[in-house]
Amino acid sequence: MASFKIHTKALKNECETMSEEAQTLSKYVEEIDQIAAQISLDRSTASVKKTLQSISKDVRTESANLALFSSKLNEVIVQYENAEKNITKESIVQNTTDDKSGDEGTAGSGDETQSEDNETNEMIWTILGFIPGLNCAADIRQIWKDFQKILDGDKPTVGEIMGILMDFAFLAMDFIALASLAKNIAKGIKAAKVASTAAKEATKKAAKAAKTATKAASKTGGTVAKTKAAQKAVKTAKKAENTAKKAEAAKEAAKAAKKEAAKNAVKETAKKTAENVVDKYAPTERNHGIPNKIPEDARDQMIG
Amino acid sequence: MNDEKLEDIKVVSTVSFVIMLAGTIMGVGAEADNIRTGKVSLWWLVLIFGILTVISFAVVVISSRILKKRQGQSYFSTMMYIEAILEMFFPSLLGSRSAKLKKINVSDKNKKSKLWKDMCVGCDIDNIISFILWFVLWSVCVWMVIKYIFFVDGDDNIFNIASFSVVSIALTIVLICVASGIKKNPMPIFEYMDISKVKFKELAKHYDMADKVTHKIWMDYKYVFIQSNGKAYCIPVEDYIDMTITFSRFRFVMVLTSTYDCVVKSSFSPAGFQKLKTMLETFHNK
Repeated sequence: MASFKIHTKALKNECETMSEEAQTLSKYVEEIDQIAAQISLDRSTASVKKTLQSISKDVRTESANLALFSSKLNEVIVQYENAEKNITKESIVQNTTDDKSGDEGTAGSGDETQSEDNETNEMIWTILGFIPGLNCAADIRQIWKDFQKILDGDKPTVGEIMGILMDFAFLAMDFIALASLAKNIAKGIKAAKVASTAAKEATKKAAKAAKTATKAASKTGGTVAKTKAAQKAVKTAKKAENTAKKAEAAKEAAKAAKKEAAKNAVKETAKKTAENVVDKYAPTERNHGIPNKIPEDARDQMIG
Repeated sequence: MNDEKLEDIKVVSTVSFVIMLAGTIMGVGAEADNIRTGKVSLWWLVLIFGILTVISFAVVVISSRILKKRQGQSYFSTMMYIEAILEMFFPSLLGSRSAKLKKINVSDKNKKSKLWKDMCVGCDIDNIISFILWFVLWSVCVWMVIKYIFFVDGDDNIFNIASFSVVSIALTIVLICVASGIKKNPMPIFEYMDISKVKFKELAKHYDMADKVTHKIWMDYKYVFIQSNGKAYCIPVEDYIDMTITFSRFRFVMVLTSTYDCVVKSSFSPAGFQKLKTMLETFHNK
């Protein structure tokens, strides 16, 4: 299928060149007129002068025609661009060209470059969409693009509206996942940081206290272990250790008791269930010799 | 509203602020293109994102003020969170002096141990590959910014420049963090040794006995050894507090909290993380 395209950027360059050429021609006209004016009127020079005047006239006409052609071409370019914009309503293919000589063969490759750019763009954003955090940026970008598409068109289609809703849904899901991850990390690092800072402070204090105790012991002439303060500290530490051991033992005992109680409850339930089944179909002491099924059937018959 | 909920609100609104700010920046770019090309204006969408940005920031500030008033000295500020995260990725910068000295003073005998050779020295191959892939993605995004500024005429130039710039900044931070993990860093282990006074050879002994749980996670009855982003962690089983596994588009992120440490590790499959969680909870409850 044939397609029509004007390589507008190249043509604009051509217009400028034509305008310059028209000006150059105007200068030639002036030069020719000057030369013609300097030739003295003589039988031998009359024809030369006449010819020069004729040439000057022709060049002036050509210069005017060239300037007119350049301005008309400019008008055509503007009309074409406006028409294309109105027809496509999406993107104006601006034919970028590095070739200033205006090779019209590159007009088609401008289109191909644009669509390759779009494909590369989409591929990059698809990859970014898989990365936690950056997927939110990809979702926001998609929302912008879809809104632009809808509002640039006449009436939003059902597909376009569904697309927008899906974009918001994806953004919400990715935001929730990211917020959840951020919360977990924040909680974890806060707890660890607070504990490790406290532990380091405690270590520093203990080291300082030990230093002070050693100093005090050396002054009294005794070893560190013999000073009253150190003995008290050792006693307190032992007491704390014993309390912790007792608490641990109590925890274990409670656990064991819980397990035993659960086991007994299960046994009891199973026993009761078995007894109910037996009572339903067989005469026992509990049902006074009459299986429970008989009165149940009689009742059902009465109700009908 | 209790302090924990308020902390959660603060964190969520911080995340929301960053995302809405990115959306607003992209929107301003899109609107600049629309004005230039005469397309339909989306100023109302820019306004919505802008308002959400301001609201998120306000919630962050208000919740921070309330928490500071309630908690006083024990208040954990945003700056402290940032410091803690930096410490996670660059433990050498903020590690304690004695931990640094301990690392330097490892004996030759200990340097022959498997723990030292596997987790403390050398380069992390996974991080090298990860760095190369992230670098390629970062380069492509930076190239797209440069291309749209200097080499391409089009309708969506400013929008594309804004979008790719936002992503490039995020990827620069990711690249720096991944680069920090190329050389193996045992600082977290030495920090733990500094706090608990346990010796390196004791940990090495447990590492030799440990079984592999999943990629770069080993565990015995007493310790869990984890290598994440080049950092080597040693978590005592008795110090285990909590483990969460969050899913986000084909990537699972584990956050393991213990008394003195917090480990963040990601993977394409949650199976290994689930196994570790089950084992930790079983051993911990015993």
